[in-house]
Amino acid sequence: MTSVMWFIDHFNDRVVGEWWTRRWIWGLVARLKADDDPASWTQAITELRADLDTATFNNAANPFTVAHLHFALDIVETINPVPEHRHMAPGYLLQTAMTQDELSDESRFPPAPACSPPRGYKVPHDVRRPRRNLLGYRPKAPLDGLLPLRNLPDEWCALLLRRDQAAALRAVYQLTYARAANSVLRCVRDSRDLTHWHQNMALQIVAYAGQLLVAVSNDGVTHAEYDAADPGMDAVYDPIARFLFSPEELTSFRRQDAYMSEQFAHLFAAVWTGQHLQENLDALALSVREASDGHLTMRMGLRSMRGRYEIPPYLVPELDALLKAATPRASATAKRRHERHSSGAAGAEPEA
Amino acid sequence: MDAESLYLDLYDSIADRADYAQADLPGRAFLSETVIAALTAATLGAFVTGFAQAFGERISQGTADRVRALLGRSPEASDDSSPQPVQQVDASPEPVVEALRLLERYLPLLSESTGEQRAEEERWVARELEGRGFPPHVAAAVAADMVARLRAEGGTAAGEGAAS
Repeated sequence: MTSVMWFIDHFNDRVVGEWWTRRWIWGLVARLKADDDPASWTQAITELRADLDTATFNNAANPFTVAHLHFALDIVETINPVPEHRHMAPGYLLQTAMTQDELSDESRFPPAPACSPPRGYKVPHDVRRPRRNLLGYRPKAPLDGLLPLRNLPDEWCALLLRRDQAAALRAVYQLTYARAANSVLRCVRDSRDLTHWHQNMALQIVAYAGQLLVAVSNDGVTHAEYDAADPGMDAVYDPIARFLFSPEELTSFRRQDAYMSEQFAHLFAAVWTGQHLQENLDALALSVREASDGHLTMRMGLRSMRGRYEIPPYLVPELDALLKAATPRASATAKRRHERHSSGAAGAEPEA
Repeated sequence: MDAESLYLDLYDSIADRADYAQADLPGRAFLSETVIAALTAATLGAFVTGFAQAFGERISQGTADRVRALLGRSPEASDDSSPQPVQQVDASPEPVVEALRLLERYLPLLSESTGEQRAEEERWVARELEGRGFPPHVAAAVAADMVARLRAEGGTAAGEGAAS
């Protein structure tokens, strides 16, 4: 698989995978139109998520690209099985990601652009600026009519709100946040081997990017309620989120934002310093095997290191068993040494 | 299982999610192992309070007070709703391990607890965590995990007692 560092390096790269993302969403829309049975869709979505994970590892789709695709699946998963929303085909909602060119031919998706336009590229004469709307504003879409991917989540959220589907939108937020929290636990608890650990790290980065797409608070930085310079609800929380959730729920989401940003910081630090590489793990195992004292502290250390991505979960029981076995031996040695010392001291006393 | 391993089990159930403890702090920093240990002690203290309420008549008052003192809780402040900041709690593992040693013989009582009592024990732990910045659903998951580990330990101890 692609190195975990690659995912960190391309974390903020939201543009490269645009064609890939649109192509994937186009395929999803086509599939929705072909098979509109909600029962089979629940199964299909699980399969699509697994495919997406595989594609993430193989094709090195950058984190935000994959996050957008998971977001598209969230929308389908949330809306499609609800009977009262069945008359609004989710394919229609997802089509907002497509351009007219892409929508015009249902059997073929336009090929990827050969390269991005060079600097100084001029708009051809036959391309006209979009007309002003009734309020006198020009639409924010660029001249070629593409909806930039970075606007897509906002656009979808706004569409759902306009359709009065607040419950579905709430579910999308909850789904995204739950996926992010689960990705952490899966990585630090369920990874089976080194590759699986690295894959789970990549998926966690993707899940974090997904959480940022629908971030409830403005960032992972703390804004405590009791803070003297409290910037107020407006500055802290996203307006859509404020409409959807109660203050208690918002607080809960904000804490999850803080937690996930801390996890990303731990992950970044571990990968940046190479803690996740086999040679460092070997060195760690060696130092544990050679430890002669402080076993309880080291056993605690192993567990906290696991949550900081410095040791994979599968290695913890093995090293813990070593330390546990070494504890009685070390205490017996210390006891013998103490006895020898005290008997030596007792023998030395009369001479003094 | 010995008291040290049980302590590490409890430490384990909280270590991955300990960063929630600073979600409300104005400045977040690298969470040291000391703080995680303090969090473990605090949650165990909350559990003991709930446990003593459920099985008060079967646990000697002296033991309950001694355990609470080891976990940094005075008996009169047992139902304090505002948790002490973890940074001010004594975080060395020895007192907590000692408290678990004292508590060990009472843990088989957990298998006798009714569903309602079980929920109440978990609620005590969850409330403690929520007061420290954990979202309710995470606090409930960690509490369920911790109480399940204690109950499993109680079951093992009861089995060993019956065997011997």
